[in-house]
Amino acid sequence: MAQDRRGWRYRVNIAARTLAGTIGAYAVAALFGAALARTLPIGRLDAVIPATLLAFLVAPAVTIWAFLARGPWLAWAGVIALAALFGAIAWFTGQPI
Amino acid sequence: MSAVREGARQVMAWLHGWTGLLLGHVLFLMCLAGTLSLFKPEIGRWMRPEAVATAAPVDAVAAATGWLAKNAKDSTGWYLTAPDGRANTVEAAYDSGGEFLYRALDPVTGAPVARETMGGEFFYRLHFELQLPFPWGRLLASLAALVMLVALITGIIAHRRIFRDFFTFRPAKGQRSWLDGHNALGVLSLPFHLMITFTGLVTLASLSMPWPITANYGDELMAMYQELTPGLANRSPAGTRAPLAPVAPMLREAERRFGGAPIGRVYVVNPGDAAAVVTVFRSDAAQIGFTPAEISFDGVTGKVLAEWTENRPAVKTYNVVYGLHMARFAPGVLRWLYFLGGAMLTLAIATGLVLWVVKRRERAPLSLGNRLLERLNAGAIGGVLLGSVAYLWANRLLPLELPGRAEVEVSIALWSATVSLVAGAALRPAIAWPALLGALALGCAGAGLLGFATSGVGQWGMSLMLVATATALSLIVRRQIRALRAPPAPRRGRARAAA
Repeated sequence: MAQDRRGWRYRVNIAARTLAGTIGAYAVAALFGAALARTLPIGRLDAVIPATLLAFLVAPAVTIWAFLARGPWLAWAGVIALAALFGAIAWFTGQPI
Repeated sequence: MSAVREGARQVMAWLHGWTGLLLGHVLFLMCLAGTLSLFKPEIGRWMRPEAVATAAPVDAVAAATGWLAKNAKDSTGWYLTAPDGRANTVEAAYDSGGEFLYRALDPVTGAPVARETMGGEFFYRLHFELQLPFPWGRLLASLAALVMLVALITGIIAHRRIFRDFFTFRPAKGQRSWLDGHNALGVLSLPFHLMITFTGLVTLASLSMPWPITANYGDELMAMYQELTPGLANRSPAGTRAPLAPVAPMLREAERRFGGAPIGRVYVVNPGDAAAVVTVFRSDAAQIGFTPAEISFDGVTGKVLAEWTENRPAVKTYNVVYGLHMARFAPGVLRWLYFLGGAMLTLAIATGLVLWVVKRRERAPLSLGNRLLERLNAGAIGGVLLGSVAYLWANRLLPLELPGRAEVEVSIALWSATVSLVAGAALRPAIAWPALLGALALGCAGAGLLGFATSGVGQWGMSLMLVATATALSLIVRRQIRALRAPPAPRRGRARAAA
């Protein structure tokens, strides 16, 4: 294992997961928050609050998942899929008036 | 090949280690400053021994506005906090001559008190602004809090035996003792650690997680704030001057409309302008939820412009989450429990940082990076503590009439921390720890004695705490010196021999 840890494959693996678990996790949390804020059937201010609170739980969950996923590719695929899903929901719902 | 195959628990332990290490020193600073901020008013009183006058909240704020009307005419706004049972001065933040000032105002005369100091506000600001310019300090603090949330969750998952950790401590056994200590500190008040980290994140949400707001409001941030606090009337300055009406009747009217609850924050925006607004908030200390009610008056006529009592479930939830972090509501015993929780979290971070090095030293010679970390640990942990104590010394020893006295106090705190960092880097850790902690013990004892000598009996509590801390530290330092004098163990073998 000690030898594995010096190998470039290991380093690329960790770097890819780290990026997915930081920038990726934040992006997913931000888009999740935006999507929830737009879709909750309550006032636009009321919706912002649970969306923000829950976004702070989504971020660490994605971070942890990025390191638990079977491989770095899967970690990134998950991050991209979730970001796309939440992004699409937020986009198609549009800004409430 | 990958971290995954080592099993989920080991991955979590690995992630716990790295996330804890990443901003560990920043988190140590934040947790210590936050813990001290629980006693912000008490620290403020200790640091202003000359200010002994007291007055009812309404009278004190009225006196403050009287002084500010004469001495801060050009200001765009005065942001005041009324005294309560704990603080006796009015806290005032305002701009004057293009400078943003923070002053404690005498509750009777309204003028700044003799000993110009940031008081407990220094620790409070340090806790989430880290002495860095806006918005970078707050962003770094948010990032650190988010990383800590990950560290906490991974720490829990990595654990097999939460319950047993309650009762496990094997002292003087090298790595095992550090691990037991770290686990006990983490586990014993785990719900507090989770609560304070999550609620702390929420306090800076508009900066660190603004996207739900952006999604619903776009660029119209002001509209969001208007909906959040409808009782806070917003007006642009009219450009024509008009004297501010007497503030005391407005404060009394507000108190009456709050059902007799005391007033807390008072904002006077556009003072001296025809569009002046006085907003009075119900005290944040009277219930868990922050900003429970507010009422705005026309600053010139004294008429009510807007009034609001918070009853919306979502906003109330947010206010309670916010209030849980601020802990303004917490009475005596609960406040000490907050303090205990904060102290345990601070120590959990410190022991975690030490553990990282101890664990690796027992396996193999330390790498250059870990040797640097070992020295950074001593310098940074010692430095944060020494800086805090130096701040108290500066408060007592700097002449009262020194220009920019409050800023000099802060500079002395920062320079002391810097010197300690350099000492930690220069000295062997086995020497640096007892040297820095010894200096800290002397510093605490000295500050405590200075406190006894220069303040009234009412402020002896904090001096006693300082002396008690000094005593506890001296016991640790004595042990460290004994270990130094013991026959030298073979290089990097001492811990192993003990285990």
